[in-house]
Amino acid sequence: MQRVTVAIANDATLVKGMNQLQVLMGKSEGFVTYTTPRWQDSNGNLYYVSSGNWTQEQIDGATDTDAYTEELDGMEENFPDLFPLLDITAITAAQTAFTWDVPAAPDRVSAVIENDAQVSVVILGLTPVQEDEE
Amino acid sequence: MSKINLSRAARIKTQAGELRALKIAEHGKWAISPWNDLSRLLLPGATKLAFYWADPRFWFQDVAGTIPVTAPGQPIRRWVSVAPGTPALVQPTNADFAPVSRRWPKTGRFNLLNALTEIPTVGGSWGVTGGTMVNGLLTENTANSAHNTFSLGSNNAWSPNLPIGTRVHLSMWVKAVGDTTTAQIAFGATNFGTGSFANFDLVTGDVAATGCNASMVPEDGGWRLLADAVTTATASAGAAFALCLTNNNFAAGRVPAYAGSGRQLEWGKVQISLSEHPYQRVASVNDITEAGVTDVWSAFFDGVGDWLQSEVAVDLTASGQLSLFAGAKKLSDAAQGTLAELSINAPSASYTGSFILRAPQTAGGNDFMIYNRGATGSQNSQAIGLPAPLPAVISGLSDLSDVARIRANGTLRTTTAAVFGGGNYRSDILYVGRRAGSTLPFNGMLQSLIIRGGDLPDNATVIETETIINDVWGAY
Repeated sequence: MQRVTVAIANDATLVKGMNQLQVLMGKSEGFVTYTTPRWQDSNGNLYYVSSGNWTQEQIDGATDTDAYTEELDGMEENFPDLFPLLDITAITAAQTAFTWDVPAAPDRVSAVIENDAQVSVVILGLTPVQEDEE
Repeated sequence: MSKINLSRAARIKTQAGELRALKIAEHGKWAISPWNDLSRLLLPGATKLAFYWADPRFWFQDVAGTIPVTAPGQPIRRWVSVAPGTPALVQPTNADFAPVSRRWPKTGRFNLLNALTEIPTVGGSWGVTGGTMVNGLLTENTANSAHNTFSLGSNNAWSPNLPIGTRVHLSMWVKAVGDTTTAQIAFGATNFGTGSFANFDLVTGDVAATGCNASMVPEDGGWRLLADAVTTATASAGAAFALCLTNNNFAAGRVPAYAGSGRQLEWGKVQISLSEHPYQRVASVNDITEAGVTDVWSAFFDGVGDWLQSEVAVDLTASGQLSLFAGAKKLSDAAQGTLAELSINAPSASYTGSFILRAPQTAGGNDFMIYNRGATGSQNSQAIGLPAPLPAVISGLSDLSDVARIRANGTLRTTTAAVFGGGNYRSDILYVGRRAGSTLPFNGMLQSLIIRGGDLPDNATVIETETIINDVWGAY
């Protein structure tokens, strides 16, 4: 297991694809992982970020569009509510845009393998969006 | 004997001993666990007790609670309350947003040994095989190599040459660089045989020791690795130890051979004791003066996206008084962190009867904070002077019809004015680790979180509660 930190550009297709990929990876039970972009780059572009321990299989599968064929076949049985919402095109777009070891950018999914998530967001060039408290 | 002359560690021990003696007198035996004692202490008079204690028996890797947490490094997606009738905390969205189980010796404590050196550049009696060592950065060759190791060489004054049966202690700081996830300490074959080594998982904090004792403690963004082994031969030559990269194989055998991949490890000070008594001195309250440090579980929040929330609302509507206890450790003061918050936005006037436990309250604030919102007013109570990464036991004692107090590490820090305007606490979702599961992520460890509605406990009960938590967490 290695800690992987992912930054997804604020792009509807990429977000949709990554939400669905997370279910195929077995990390989520719904297409709800990325709901609000809470991180930003130096130009103010917004990103969705997650960080957690991934297996080598999950790491390898992030960019392999054939990696989750079995899981896709099992979606109708295992996730009957989600199955009608599956969008293979979006998943493929997210995997194609998935790039390791590069700063976050508005046209891609960037990911870093690093033990410390705080270091990872620095590598990705991101800072949290400041919240104004009432 | 006057307690004034005792070290702080000794005082803690004495308090714990007195507590145990009291328990024995009261109940005829010491309770089987700290959470049982805390329940017995805090349940009487409570209108609600939401009580989360870091231990695998209360943790599951899935929301439904069918896959138990069994080892460090696993996601905690369900954290069951010790007290009946209060909801579990769950991570409803994704395993990557779940805090991770951790286990290590009591936070912040390690032993100072009697020999200390800085890692030098290559040369002298330090040797590297299969890699390079430059300014504390160990880099494995990219070509195939027998193994990658950095040894304290045979001519060094610290080579053992000790009687058989001498226990030798090592303590060293390391930090993974790039994708490195594992390191190994191998004791030298000449003096210790070939059966003493330990593998360290630099991601999860897990340790696998063979023929030796080993543990690891987070420190300065890396890890302090501790290991000790007994000499099996008296020899004047031979390396004292080797530090190996194991191709990220946590299950690797001693000094594994593998193809080089260029992995790196940052390496700092090394401390070595060649005697049976490695505990040489106490330099701060974080040092210990006795052998044997118990380990402690905690939930690690990454400060990026991890959070939990109560499965249903925590109903605190029966009282306007709230006691809050937490054993926690901030890893950073760089940004506001939400340890716990009742409702999605306690500072909003729409959420009267809310509270927040923050660590820290302000970026760079070196503080913990408890916030309360009553019927008409709200106020912070801050405990300052607690910079990351020190562990802490925090207590908040709040009365919406009176004042709120925050205690840290056994002492009262701040008392607010009576500004809340009365009212009771609310029934709402409790968020742990991020505000509303969305913003202000907490970066650090949570060992315990106790939220108790009902009349505030007396001072003796508060101190006893803090002492039990600290006895496990080791904050002060």
